[in-house]
Amino acid sequence: MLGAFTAPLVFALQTVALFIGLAPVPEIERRAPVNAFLELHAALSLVAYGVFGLACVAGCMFLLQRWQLKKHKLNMLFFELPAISTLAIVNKRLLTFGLAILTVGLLAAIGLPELPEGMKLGVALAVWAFYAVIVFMQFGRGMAPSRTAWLSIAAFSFSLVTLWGVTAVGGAGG
Amino acid sequence: MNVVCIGMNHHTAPVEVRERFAVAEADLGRLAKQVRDMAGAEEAVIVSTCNRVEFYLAGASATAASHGVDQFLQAAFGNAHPEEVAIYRYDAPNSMAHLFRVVCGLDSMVLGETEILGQVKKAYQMASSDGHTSKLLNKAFQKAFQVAKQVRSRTGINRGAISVGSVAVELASKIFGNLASCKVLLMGAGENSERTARSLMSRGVTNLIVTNRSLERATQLADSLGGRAVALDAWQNELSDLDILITSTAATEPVVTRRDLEPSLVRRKHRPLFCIDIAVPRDIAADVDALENVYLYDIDSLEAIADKSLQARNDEREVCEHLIQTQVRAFQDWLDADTRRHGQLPPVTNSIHAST
Repeated sequence: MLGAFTAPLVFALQTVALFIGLAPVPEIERRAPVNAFLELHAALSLVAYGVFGLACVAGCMFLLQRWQLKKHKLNMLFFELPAISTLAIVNKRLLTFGLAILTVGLLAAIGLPELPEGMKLGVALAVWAFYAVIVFMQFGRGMAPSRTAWLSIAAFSFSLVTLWGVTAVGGAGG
Repeated sequence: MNVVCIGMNHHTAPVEVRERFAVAEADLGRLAKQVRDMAGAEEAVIVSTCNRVEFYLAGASATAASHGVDQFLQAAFGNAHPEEVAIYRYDAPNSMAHLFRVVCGLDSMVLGETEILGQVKKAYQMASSDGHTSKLLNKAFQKAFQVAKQVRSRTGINRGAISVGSVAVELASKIFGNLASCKVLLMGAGENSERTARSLMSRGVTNLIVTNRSLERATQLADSLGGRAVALDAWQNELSDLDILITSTAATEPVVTRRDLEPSLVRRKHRPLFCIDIAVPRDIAADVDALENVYLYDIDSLEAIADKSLQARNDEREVCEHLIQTQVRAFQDWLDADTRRHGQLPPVTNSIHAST
């Protein structure tokens, strides 16, 4: 069922990526420098955002299932969705896992010959901080699963908008 | 070549009649041979459940099969006269359509139930292992099982719970997933709460607590369910790790309020709580549902879900019938082709009408 919910998101992201990719890129930016830290940073960051995307989808599924249970509206989708407790666990795990990967990805950027410019760095750190706050709020008294779900959607939307903004302003280069 | 079905079910005969003709599992083989001999049939399968007794015969004419089964019923069940009961008699293709409906649960008391499929499979396996089936009934029953699988996977005939107990179990599964580790508290030791608890236990619940105004009655019920009893004024001590609360007391005012549950929410660390209120007047205050991670269902909401599921199953009946008719035609085509191959007359396609 996760696949059915993920497909529209992947489709939307791929469509946006396609149009961004169609835009003319200056010759200088096409020649990507070869650097192990850069590749590690890019690969891990991509995986982390993929995991956050899945957390966002799991959050949507949780909220939908919760709404159905609270409103007593049990339609066909209700029977196909996993248990609400399972979705809450999945959401929490994905956020933790994604944060761990993003942390390593950001640390890899330290090894780059030159750090990204201020705005890009600031946005990357802001996204990391957003997810870190969500994950650390799970500890102690914990956080209501519905709040975690909403935050995972908000954080992913924030990361998409800000990273797209930075890319649009500062160019597509790594 | 023909497949004949002769029998009675809950639509045509009351339980006091059906029980007279019920065939014990141990006698299925012996009686299948007897009915084969009497009907002059080459193959026979007897399906006997609490809602039906049916004889499927092949290799005999419809008339001979009908007389043979009448004789058999009188011989096997002594003073029972088949004329007294509404016995239906079908031959192909109606017999096949009937068998397909039976295995799909369309002819069951609870529409779409799946238990009947297992019972028919067992009856067929027993007849088959005793050598009472051959080419025709083997093909007929295997086709029936294939149709049942198709109907279950392509339609919603067995989707959704249609009783209060099963709705509660289904909702619990959609909240907790695996129920084996759930802790259940029964408040009120009445028949309804016991039935709901047993439904949950059938899905793996083992940790059960009973509380009641009379501790003695609570202990009695707890013992019969394998749980433990607590005094009514101590039920809140169980709240911190409780998963499911079932209430059915005779109280006239809510016995569980928002104020009872709120203090435990912090201790519960956002663990969901499923409240099933099957009492009238209600035992749980309605505003409890507004609490985060609390899911409250009263008797009306459970019944509404059950009714909706039943309605949805009824709506699926037409789709199932369409699938069944397609498969009946396919079976009939095979039967006709096989008959032509072996130079026999094609089967009579008119049903012998149910005699009453």
